[in-house]
Amino acid sequence: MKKVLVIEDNKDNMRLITYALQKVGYEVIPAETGEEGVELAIRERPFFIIMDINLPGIDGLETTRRIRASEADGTIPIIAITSFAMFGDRKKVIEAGCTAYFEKPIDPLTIVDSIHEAIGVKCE
Amino acid sequence: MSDKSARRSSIITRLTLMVAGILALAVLVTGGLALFKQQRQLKQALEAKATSLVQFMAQVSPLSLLSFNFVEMNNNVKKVVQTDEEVVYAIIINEYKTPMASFFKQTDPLVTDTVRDLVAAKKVLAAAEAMKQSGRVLEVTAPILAGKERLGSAIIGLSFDKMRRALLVLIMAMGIVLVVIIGFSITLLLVMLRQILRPVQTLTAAATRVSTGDLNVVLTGTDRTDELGILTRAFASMTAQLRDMITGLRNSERRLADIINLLPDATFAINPDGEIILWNRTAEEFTGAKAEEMLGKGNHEYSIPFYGVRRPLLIDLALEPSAETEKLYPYFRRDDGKVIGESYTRSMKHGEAYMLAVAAPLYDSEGTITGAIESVRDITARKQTEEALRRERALLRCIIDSASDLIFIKDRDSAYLGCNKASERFIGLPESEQIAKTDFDFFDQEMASLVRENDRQVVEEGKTLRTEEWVTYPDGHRVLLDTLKVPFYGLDGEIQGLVGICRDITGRKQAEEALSQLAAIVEFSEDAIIGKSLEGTIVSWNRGAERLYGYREEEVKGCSVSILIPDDHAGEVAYILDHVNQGKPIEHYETARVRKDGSRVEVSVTISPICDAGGKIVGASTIARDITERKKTEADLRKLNEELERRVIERTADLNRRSVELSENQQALMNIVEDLNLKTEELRQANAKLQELDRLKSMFIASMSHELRTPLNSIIGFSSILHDEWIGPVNAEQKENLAIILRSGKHLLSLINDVIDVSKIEAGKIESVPEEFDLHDLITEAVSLVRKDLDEKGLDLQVAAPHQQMHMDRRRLLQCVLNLLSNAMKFTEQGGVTVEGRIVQNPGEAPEAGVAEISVTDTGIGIREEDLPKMCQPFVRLASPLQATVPGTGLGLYLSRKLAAEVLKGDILVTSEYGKGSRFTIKIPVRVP
Repeated sequence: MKKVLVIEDNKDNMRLITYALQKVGYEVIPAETGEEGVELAIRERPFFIIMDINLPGIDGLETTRRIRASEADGTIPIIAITSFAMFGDRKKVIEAGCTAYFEKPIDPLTIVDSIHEAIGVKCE
Repeated sequence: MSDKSARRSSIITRLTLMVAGILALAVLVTGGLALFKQQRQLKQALEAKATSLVQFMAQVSPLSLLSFNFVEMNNNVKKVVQTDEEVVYAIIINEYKTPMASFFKQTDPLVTDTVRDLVAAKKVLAAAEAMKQSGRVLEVTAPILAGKERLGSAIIGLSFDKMRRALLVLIMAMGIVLVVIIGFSITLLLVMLRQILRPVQTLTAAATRVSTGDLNVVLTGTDRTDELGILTRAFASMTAQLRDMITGLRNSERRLADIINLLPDATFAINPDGEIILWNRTAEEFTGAKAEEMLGKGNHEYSIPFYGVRRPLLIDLALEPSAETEKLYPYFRRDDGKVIGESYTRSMKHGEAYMLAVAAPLYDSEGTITGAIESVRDITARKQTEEALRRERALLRCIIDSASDLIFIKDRDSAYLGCNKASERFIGLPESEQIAKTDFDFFDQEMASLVRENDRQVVEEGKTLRTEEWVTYPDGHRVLLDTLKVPFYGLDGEIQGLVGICRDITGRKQAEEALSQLAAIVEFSEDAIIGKSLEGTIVSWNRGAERLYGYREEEVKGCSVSILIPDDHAGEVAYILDHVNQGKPIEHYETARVRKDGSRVEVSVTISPICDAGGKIVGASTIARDITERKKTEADLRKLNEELERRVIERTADLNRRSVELSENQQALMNIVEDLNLKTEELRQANAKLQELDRLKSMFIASMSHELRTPLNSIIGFSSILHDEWIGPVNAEQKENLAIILRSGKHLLSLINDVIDVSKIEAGKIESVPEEFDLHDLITEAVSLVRKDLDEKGLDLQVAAPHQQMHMDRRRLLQCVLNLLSNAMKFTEQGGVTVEGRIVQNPGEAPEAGVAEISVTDTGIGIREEDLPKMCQPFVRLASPLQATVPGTGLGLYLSRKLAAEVLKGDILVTSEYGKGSRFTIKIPVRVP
């Protein structure tokens, strides 16, 4: 089972995303803070990472930068989820090293398909 | 001659010597070789003989040597010497080189006294040595052996003399052969050369004669068939041709001399050294200098007959350009290798002369300059004629130009050939610009045609024409011209053209007209105008005078003016006449006169003197006006004036009073305005505060709505997965209820999104973020988002938009289009939705400025006309048959309108027909790349 690291402080959101990912057959590794997320990303080497940008402590952008700094190859796709639906966020997020970007609210029925499309994985 | 004979004899000598030399060399070489071989053979034979003799001596000697038998040894030696005439001496020596026996042939010439002395002194070896020294002896030695032991040596000396004698004989024989051969070859050569040289000598003699100029040579030997015959015949024919050529040349030279002498121009030529080589007869006649005096002279001698001094002429310029010399010619030019010049001299034999000269270099057939030729033409007569003609012409010109009348000449086609100064002034163009032009170039069509017709009569019919006509000139001034046109004839008696003389009589005409006008004015004047002589006799009398005084003109003409003067004014006549005589006018003199009927009349009189052309006073004019009426009017006017003045004073006082009141009112008004300004300022502050509050409100709503969205997210998310039975099966009723939660949640979410957008726009937080994109792609994207819902409702969709790049905020425009689309879809149950897009560019605007027009047309319920203004208000949902079933926030159109107007700086227009459908059009200014 492929692992997906979800870094999200909101428990409700975490639960919702977990449902969506498990439905497709992923194993979800939850992390509530950025620091925890960096540690788990290095240790577990997940298939991809879902990153909430608005985190307590170090935010999603910084977390992304740290994960990218720890990697040799920079290949883990990082999917940013943000509620800041404002112009310029996309640029900041991509500059920090994220692979793709989705705005809240997410639709549990379609989000995983959208992520697959963004990181170039064929739906099984 | 001696040179030639020397050369000829040297040819023979050289040939002879050459042949003899070659033969001698051959004989010498072969002779030398034979001699050398002979000498070697002789020497070898001598050596062989010597060797055999010495060996014989050596063989017979050992015993006698061992036994010291000197006699035998001496005998042996003697025998050897005597057996052969060539042996000169023989010696036997022991191993210690002591001579044991010897014999010298005393008779041989080689045995000199010195040798004989040495032999006598027993110094045999020294004697042999001395003989060897002469080089005429061949000495050979052989060892005397006893077994292997050497006992001594046998020595023998042989004379070369015999051998040398033989060789000498040989050499002498060879010399004789040599002499014979050389003599024979020389004789043979001389005979041969004589045979060849004789005809050559003949030719040479002939050539020598030809070279001295005698061409009448007769050659023998032309009948020979060999090369010399050919040469002789060729020479003869060459001589004949040369003879013909020289004759021809002499003839043509003669002809040329005749031609040159016949030339009408004085012609002379020089060689490159400047010496005169030709001086023709015309030159003799022109200058008086004879050819025989001139020919051969150099150093500019040729200029003396022309100018009296030595100086370079044109002929020198033909050879070498010189600016200095060119200056001597008033007219000078070069033309295709020639130099041409005109000059003037006073030093000719008959006085002054004008000359036109041409000079050119002379070339030979190789193109080398061999001299120069100059031809001088006497153009004195022509020059003098020209000068006279020029003077006459100038005089004529002066006369014509000083005429005040316009004078001009035209050809048969009415083109100007010339005109005078007056004409130039008149037309306003110099003569040079008038020539070859016609009147059509200066006047209007009508005028020019008229003039042309007149000209035609003159040149074709030979008439003299006199006309008087008004002419309008190019600058617009009009003149009356009195024109006389006469034809002029050429030498052949044909009419060549015409001469015109025009007089401007505008002034005269105007004066005449003015005069008649003046007369009319006088005649019809209301005033009485009388002309009188200095004596006071009436000479003219106008109608006014008739009316005023009652006399008719014929009644009073010739009478004295005193009949008009009342008795109490009798003195006036003298006073007036006195004034007039002094040339002083009298103006507006008020007095009284008597009419014919005796009644009095009040008059104002103006009297002016009348002068003739010379300024002399000849009479006076009297203008009298009836002032009876005026006097009465004046009195009335005065009264009226006084009344008016009084009224003005009263009115002024009234005005002053009102003015004071007005200024008081003005002050009050200013106070009010100030008050108003104060209020306006308060209002403005309040308004600013209000705006700030409004912004705060919008921000509050925006953040509030954002916070609302987070829990709503969960509501929608979880109800959605429950409804899709991810967690487990739900029954139909539960599923229905979950669907209601989901729908309500989604509605609430879109409501909140719209509220956020509206608040952001109101708070000024949304700024246009332009990017470049394709109009068609944008509409396609918008349509793709609603296509599913349209299909579900079974509505038709039409899209028409061109592929066109534009620059604008794509995201916001998409939002607007999407809102209009979903709006259209909501209110349409049947038919379909049409989306059309285009970019309109106004021709007057900048090329990159355009307006994007996107219209969404539906076949829905439409809008009542009275409802149209409410369309774009927030939360307005019009009463409609579908209201209950149509979902919506009521913010869609309001938001789109705000976006279009405030963010995209455009507008949304609505047209609708109730019950039939609506059309929403977004118009946004865009930049077209």
